[in-house]
Order: sequence, then C-alpha cells, then structure tokens
Amino acid sequence: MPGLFRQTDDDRQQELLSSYIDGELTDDEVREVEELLGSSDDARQELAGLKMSVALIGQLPELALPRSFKLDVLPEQQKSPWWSSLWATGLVTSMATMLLVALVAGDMLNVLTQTRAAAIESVDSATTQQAASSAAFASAESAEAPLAPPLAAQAAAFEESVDSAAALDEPAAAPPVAANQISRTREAAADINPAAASPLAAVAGDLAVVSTSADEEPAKSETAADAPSTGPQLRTLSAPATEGTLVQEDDPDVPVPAPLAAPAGAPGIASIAAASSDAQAPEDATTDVTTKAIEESPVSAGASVEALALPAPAADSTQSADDQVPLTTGGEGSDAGALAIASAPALDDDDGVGAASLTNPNVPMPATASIETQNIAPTPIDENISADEGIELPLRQLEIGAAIVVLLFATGSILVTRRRRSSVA
Amino acid sequence: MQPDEPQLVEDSQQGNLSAFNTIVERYQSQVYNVAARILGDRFLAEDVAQETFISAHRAIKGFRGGSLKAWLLRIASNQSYDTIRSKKRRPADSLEESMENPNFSVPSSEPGPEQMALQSELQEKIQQAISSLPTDQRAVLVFIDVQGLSYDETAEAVGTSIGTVKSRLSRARARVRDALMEHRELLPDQFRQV
Repeated sequence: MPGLFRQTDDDRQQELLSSYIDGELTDDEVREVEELLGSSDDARQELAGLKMSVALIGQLPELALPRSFKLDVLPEQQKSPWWSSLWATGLVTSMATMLLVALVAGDMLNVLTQTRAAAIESVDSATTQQAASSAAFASAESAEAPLAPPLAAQAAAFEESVDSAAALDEPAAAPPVAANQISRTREAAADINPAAASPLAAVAGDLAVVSTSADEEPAKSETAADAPSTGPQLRTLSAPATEGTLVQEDDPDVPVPAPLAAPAGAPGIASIAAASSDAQAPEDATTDVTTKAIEESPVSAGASVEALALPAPAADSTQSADDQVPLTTGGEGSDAGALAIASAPALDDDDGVGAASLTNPNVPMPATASIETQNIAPTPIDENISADEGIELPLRQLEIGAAIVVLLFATGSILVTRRRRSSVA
Repeated sequence: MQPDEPQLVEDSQQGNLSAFNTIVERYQSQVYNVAARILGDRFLAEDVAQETFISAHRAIKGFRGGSLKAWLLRIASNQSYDTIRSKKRRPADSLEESMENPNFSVPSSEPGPEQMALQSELQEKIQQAISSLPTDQRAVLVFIDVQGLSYDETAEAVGTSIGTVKSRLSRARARVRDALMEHRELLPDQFRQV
C-alpha cells in the first residue's frame, strides 16, 4: 500500500511538471512545482526529460499532402432502415421495457392475472382423462352385466349336460376347471385389484355354481378328459392368442389354470362361445344363443382387458397354453355343456409383459391395467386465478414477448450507438 | 474558429458542397498529419483522411457549434482507431513495417548527408516511440505536441476532461523520453546529458 501512494505521488509530480511546461497550472500549482524543483534533483531531471520529449516531438516535420481531399461529388446518402435509427430503437426499447415492467408489477400485485382460458384448458384436459376412465369403467360394468346372464345360462346348461351324461352313463365333460380358475382368479384379483375383481365377481359367482356342481363328480372329469372330444370343443385361453378359447386338455392330471386372457385393444370381451359339434339341438341353440348374446355385448376393450386381465394362480410361467386344463363341457352329445371362452385378439405386448403377466402373478401388470382404479388428479388451477380479481390477460405470453423485444432492441441500440460513435465525432 | 467558419458550416449544412470543400481545404493537412502520426503510416493516413471528410460531410448537419478543428480531428482519430483495430485483426501489413518506411521522414533542409541521415533516423525513432503508445495517450500527444492544440481543444477532440488530458499527456511524454534515452547517440547534443 505505501508503494501505491508513492506511485500516485510520482504520477502527480510528473503531471504537474508536464503541465508546467505548457503553462497549464494554477498559481498555487506553479508555486508548488517551483518549490519542488528548488529542493529535488530528481524533479529537475524529470522536468528536463519531459522537455526533451516535447522538443523532439515538436520538431517532427509536417507531412506533405499526397493529394487533395476535396469532395468532387456529394457522397451518396446511405438510406439506413428505420430500425437502425438510434431514436427509433431507443424508443422501442423504452416502450417495451415499460410494458415489461408494467406486466411484472401487475402480476406481482395481482392487478393482472393469467387468463383463465389457459388455466382452464389444462384442467379440462385432466378432467377429460378422468371422465374417459370413468366411462371406461362404467362401460366395463355394463358389459359385465350382460355377461352374467349368459354365463348363468351356460352354467345351467352345463348342469343339464352333467345330468344327462349321468343318465346316459357316459363320461361327463371334464370338471369346469375354468370355473374353478375363475373363482380362484377372482380371489387373486381381489387381492391385487379389488375394483377390477368386483365386475368379475358376478361372472365368477355364476361359474362357481358350475364349479361346485362339477366338483361333485371328479371322476367324470378324468374320464371326460380321456374321452375323445366329440362334444363341444374347448380351448384354453391363452394370450396372446388371437382366439383365446378354452381347449380340451389331453392331460387332466395337470390341472393348470387357464387364465382368462383378454388382450388389450380387443374389440370384444372374453365371450363364452360354444364350439359346434354334434350336440343336441336344444343345447346347441342354447349355446349358440349364449354365444351370440355374449359376443354382442357392448364391452369396451379397455374395460374387458382390465376386468379379465387377472393373473392366474401361482403357476409355472413357463407352462404353455397346452398344459392348461380347459373348462369342461358335457360329454358327447352334450353340446350344451360346451364352453369356450373366446377372447379378443392378442394382447399387445409392447410393454413386454404380455402373456407372462396373465400367467404369472409375480410379473407386474401393465401400466394400462386397472383403468377403473386410476385416479387422475386434475391439474391444479393456478392459485392466482380468480374470477373476481385482476385483469385477465395472456400474462405469461406477454411477459415473454416483452422481454424478447427489450433484449432485441437494446442490443440494436448498442450496436447503432457504437457504429455512430466510431464514424462521427 | 475562424470568423467565416460559422457561415461555412451553415452553408454546408444547407448542402453547399463548395462551402464544405472550403472547410476541407482549410483542415486537410492537419487531418492528414494527425492520421499519419497516429497510424505511423502515410498510405493508411491517406485513406483515413478521405474517410474523415466523407463522414464529416454526412454528419455536418449534426454539428452544434464549438471548435470545428477539434470536431474534424476527433473524426480523424476515431477513423484512425478503427483502422488500427482492423489492422490488428488482419496483421498482413504490419504497422511496424510501415513505420520503417523511409518515405515517412521528411528530408532535412540542413546540409550534410550524415546529419540528414541522423535526423531522419531520429524522426523514425520518435515516430516509433509515438506508435508504441496506447491509442488514448497517442492521440493526446499528437494533438498537443504535434498539432499544437490547446488542452481545451484536445479535451473536446478526444471527448474527455482536461484532467484526463493532462494525465495521458504526462505519461505519453515520459514514455517517449524513456524510449529515446535508449538511443542517446541519435539525440542532439543538448539532450544527451539528460
């Protein structure tokens, strides 16, 4: 720090001596310099050196003009665009700045508010999603209802086939394992997705009746399984099978549950249809009617998927569809008992879950599952929105636009000023 | 300002080219010399001088009075600065090379080739010392010590205060002195003992 002060003193001394040469000092400064010169050899030497510089520089000759610089013709006035005018850019910048300040101040003081349209639009989109999900759920429920009667009819038809088989002393159809599966899947669904399980409850409940009656004759299932399938054909549900129909299992000793596969995007729900055979006309008619009724049920694909996309009971996920025990039907001549669950087209396996999710409960359900349980929270409305306060404007858009205008024209003003300064005194 | 200058300025502002050329004729030597001393190159100074008067003609309507000479020299110094900056960006033609151009020094009228040679060399060294100064110090030194402007006119020409002019001038003179002291053999006898 002392060095700094010494430097400043030297500079001041040098400045005084330089100005002293030109006579540009006040009387007080002249006295100061003369005292300094009388007492300091360095000051005198410094003054001598400065005087030498002045003298030598002053001796530089004046250079001769190489030519005349008179203007022969008037230089063309360059038409500068209006935006390059300094006052124009400055005016626009000032106006944009004032607008931006007014918008920000109004926003902070709640004098100006974001227009409701923009906020409501976001809320509406969320509400629409929720309504769609609710509608899908409602349609799923309504779709399940028509299913119940046809299933009940099927259950009744099955009972008849069992009775008739017993009367004819013929091997009955295999026990309604699918019905068992349905009940078990209902239980599993209840554990995983209680909401989804409820629509299936009506279906499972009806099939449980069939299951109960089928359990009473386990032998018949074995024999039925061994018997050539001349009755109604059943094919196991398998996703991503395009036709998830229950097929008759050749090996009844391995009662693998047949999942109720209902691929996403399916136009129809798993409809219970009876395969044609040489069944008796009444049973056929019943079955056919049942099939038609089910197939015609207006069930949305999404709801059907969610209602029936239930994981099967714990089973080896590597088991193929062929290992699955189908729902049994009546034996030969008992077409009424034929049950086949035809599902919608193959499950879209984009999420990589696919069939595995339907057979292995350990695999998480696709994200699209359980629409009815989705609870899409609506986008909260901006807290500042109020119908009763503030002038509504597209505030954010205006603020951004004003900021951009300020930035552009401020930059333009700086550039124009620099150019003017460099070319004109 | 000369007595007839206000009228010349007014006529020029009216678009009278003849009146403006009168102004050019009066100040072109100073403008050219200032540009040459600041740039250290006579050829570049020629272009700068021409650009100075073209710019002055365009801006004459904005002249609000004061020293016309200072106003013109300010344009000239600004044009010189722009040229220096552009030369720095494109160092194809070195300013130092132009300073060593023998055409830069004017032959002395004193007899004796040796004396002429020494004088010429000294002028070259002085010009080199001036060219080595920072541009702000260089302009002040040229205005006051080369062109003989007053402190007030110089302050108006460079657009600063008189105190700044004094400060820049004292530093510029000191640096030229230090540079010349390295070539004492070239200095006149009275300055060799400094």
